[in-house]
Amino acid sequence: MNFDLNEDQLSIQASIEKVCEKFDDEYWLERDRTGAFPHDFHRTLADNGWLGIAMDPEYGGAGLGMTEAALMMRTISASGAGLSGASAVHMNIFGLNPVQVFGTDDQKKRFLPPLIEGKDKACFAVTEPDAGLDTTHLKTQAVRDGNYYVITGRKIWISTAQVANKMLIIARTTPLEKAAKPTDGLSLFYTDLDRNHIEVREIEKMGRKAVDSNMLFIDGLRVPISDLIGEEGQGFKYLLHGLNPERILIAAEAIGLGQAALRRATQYAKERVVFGRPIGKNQAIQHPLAQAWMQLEAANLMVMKAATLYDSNKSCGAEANSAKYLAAEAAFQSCQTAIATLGGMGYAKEYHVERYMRECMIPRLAPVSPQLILCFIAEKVLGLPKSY
Amino acid sequence: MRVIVAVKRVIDYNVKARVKSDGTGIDLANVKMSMNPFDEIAVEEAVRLKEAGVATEVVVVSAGVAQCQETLRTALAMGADRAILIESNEELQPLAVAKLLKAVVEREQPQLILLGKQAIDDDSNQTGQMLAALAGLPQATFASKLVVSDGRAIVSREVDGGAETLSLTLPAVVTTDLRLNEPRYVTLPNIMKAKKKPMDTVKPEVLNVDVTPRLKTLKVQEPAKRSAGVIVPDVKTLVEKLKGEAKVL
Amino acid sequence: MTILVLTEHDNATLNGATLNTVTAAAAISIFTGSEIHLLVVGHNAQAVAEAATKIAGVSRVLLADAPHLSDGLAENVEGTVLNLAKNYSHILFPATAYGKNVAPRIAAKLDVAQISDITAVDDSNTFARPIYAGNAIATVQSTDTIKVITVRSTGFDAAAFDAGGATIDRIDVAPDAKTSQFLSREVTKLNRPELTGASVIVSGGRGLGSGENYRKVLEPLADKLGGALGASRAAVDAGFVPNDYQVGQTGKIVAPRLYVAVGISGAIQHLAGMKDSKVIVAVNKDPEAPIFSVADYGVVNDLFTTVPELVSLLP
Repeated sequence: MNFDLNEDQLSIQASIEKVCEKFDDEYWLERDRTGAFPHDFHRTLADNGWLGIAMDPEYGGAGLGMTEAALMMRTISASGAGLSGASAVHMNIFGLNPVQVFGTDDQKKRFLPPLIEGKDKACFAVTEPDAGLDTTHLKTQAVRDGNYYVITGRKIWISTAQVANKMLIIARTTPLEKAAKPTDGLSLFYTDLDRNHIEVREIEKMGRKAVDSNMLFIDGLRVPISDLIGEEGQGFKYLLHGLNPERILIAAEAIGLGQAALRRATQYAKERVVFGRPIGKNQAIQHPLAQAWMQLEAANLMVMKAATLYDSNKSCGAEANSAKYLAAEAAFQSCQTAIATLGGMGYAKEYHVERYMRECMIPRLAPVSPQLILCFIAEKVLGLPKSY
Repeated sequence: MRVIVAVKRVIDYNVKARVKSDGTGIDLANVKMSMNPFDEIAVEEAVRLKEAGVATEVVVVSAGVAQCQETLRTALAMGADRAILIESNEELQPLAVAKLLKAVVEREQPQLILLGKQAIDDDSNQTGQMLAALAGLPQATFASKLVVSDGRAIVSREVDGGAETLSLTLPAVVTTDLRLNEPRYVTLPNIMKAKKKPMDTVKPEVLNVDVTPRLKTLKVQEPAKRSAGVIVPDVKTLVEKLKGEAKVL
Repeated sequence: MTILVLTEHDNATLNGATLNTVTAAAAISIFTGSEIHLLVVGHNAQAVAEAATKIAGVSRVLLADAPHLSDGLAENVEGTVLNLAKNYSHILFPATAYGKNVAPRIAAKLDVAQISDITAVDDSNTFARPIYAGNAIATVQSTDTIKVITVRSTGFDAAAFDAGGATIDRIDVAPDAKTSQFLSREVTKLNRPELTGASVIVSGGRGLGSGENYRKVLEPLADKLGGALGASRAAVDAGFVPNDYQVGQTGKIVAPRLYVAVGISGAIQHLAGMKDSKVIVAVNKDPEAPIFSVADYGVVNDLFTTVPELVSLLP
């Protein structure tokens, strides 16, 4: 069982670290203050071929796996960019996997290269105000009208919709009452984010101000049938395909965030002298930091295991969900420990750890709640009766 | 024209080196290592010469432990064509490295050899010059500009009072200074391409070089600490203290 | 056992770095009782040789004078030095651009190690030198019969001048190697002290924002203090000042009586170049700037108001 990074992975990590060096703490602090999207960061990653890390080489990607993609996302986050950096590119790393797997050649040619090159920015419109965890109950409708589908509905928590020009959206083409089972009748589209028919309203939130989250009010959006991905009504199946990679990536990002917080707190503990000794010499300071390290390392192992299973085409649901759960909790522990370690300074924006703390709630809550993950493990791994 | 670039794997530029408590050296356990920044500049310059059609092949060489392969891979991903690792677990001092490089130079017959002006770990600033002397070649150290034309290297170098320009016959040795260029990012496609580029490993014995160190390090210690300073509340206080306490005014 | 010191000069005047190097030679000769010889390699450099005879502790000055030696080309200096190298137990160069350029060639040709940037002499074989950007001091011992050394000026006081009495001997010059050609030199014109020798340095960083600000804000201060002007790498990279203003691990190493760091954050590499200054003053609006960890006096405030105020309050 080899736990070492291989030579490509080491190169990837070193190269991403180098790119991130230029986008330093002050850059992210400023982004968090103003909310300005890090376009130049996105552009630099795109120009150096990183957005296509896990996409098909035929369309400009590098054809590597989730392991490399997760490593990249963790490295970005760990540099201090946190979720602000990671979320700026996250959707472009794997979001279009359904297109890659289920799209036509024409669609792949149209959609993948511009996204990989960084020319397009895509958002992912699944969640609705009344359908978060229970996706099958979403209400946005796509009604066939000649060579178009007309989409009407509301979406919420759609990241990057302020800056995106494309949207991957799931909507009901068959009403729930008429569908054979709840998972039938949903269709997946990849289409232009037409602001004439979509009102994008930003949601002011706790953290990660640089990468916007929004409500979308979609009213009569006309989508050409050539933008339908795969078969009508099969969208849920396509979505499921991308769920585990989604969890793996977010988990990796959470770990990076936790590591950034731990690094800052440890440095501070070495330098801050109180009552004539560095505070890091006190067990009450050291021990929580040591715990944070262990928890992050353990969660990382789960992330890497899940990614390895995925890349070997093996089932990885338990591992991917566990990775998300463990990583988010480990990140949370690390971030709140970092603030406590820095004391009063931990509360000041210029010391960065309060920003990490505000961001670490995102992987705890999204894309699926910790409670649902616990149910999943209880049911699917332990075989206990479903509770809802 | 073949160009050889020598690169060294050193502590990363951003890491603060810590002295081991037993005084035997610097603590390198779990410390991030990277290509010496001046060597990165040397690789970048060589790759630019190739892109300009002046160089036909860029060969990178490193001497040290097996992990130096990572450093060489980075150079290949920057655009070098071929890599040579002179593998050794011994402490390699500049004189030994210069001899090893001389052996490689004899084999490869390059027209230009580029090195960083100094490694940021030992800060010796010797290897390029030693190599030039051993190989009987001209040198231009601390280069801030390099032009190759008509079989000569025209080099602007940074010297204490400003800059000077030399013209060297080829083959020549040039060591790079900070302002020569800004190295490119390594792109993912180039990392993938670099996997197919050849990397050879050779041992010092095969090159007939005795790498026994000549300098023995007796101890390594932290520099004398400055006593803690004070933050003064205003400029008036600063001036008073500089006059009365520090007596520098 | 005799010690040879290479002279730093411009064919007309002797450079101060030579004096510090002579002091290092004197420190070695305490252990060996050696004589100290100075070697001047240049063209029409008689005046330099004469000045060299007046350095205290120097018993002999050797002059190698020829047109192809006028610009310090390493390939030509090498030949001349190697002619007499075997007569010496120690060959010392100042750790200047010239010294660092030539010394390793001599060492390699003699098949001996070269010891760079020594800051102290422990005995005739043992020397202290900074490594890892000055974050550590290594004490190294040479096992070679001839020690080739470059000497960091800030590690040794300047030797005094006395009535003199050393002889000047013209020596044989090795022929032109003809592999290198000197084309031109651009020297930064200075109406103020030179950076490496100055006793007061006013140094600016990225915080100044522009070359214009650098001059507007710092020149009055440097004028008032009679100091030299220096800069951090960030300021040089941003184009505020020429490259040779850079103080740092790979720029100039300085140790003035007073170093005023304005708008400099204090990266490891910059500190390496100035942390041995006797008194350090730092002005920076960021209270967490690493420069404050080495500063004796720190002002946490906007430099654009602080420096003019300082200028107005200075005597």
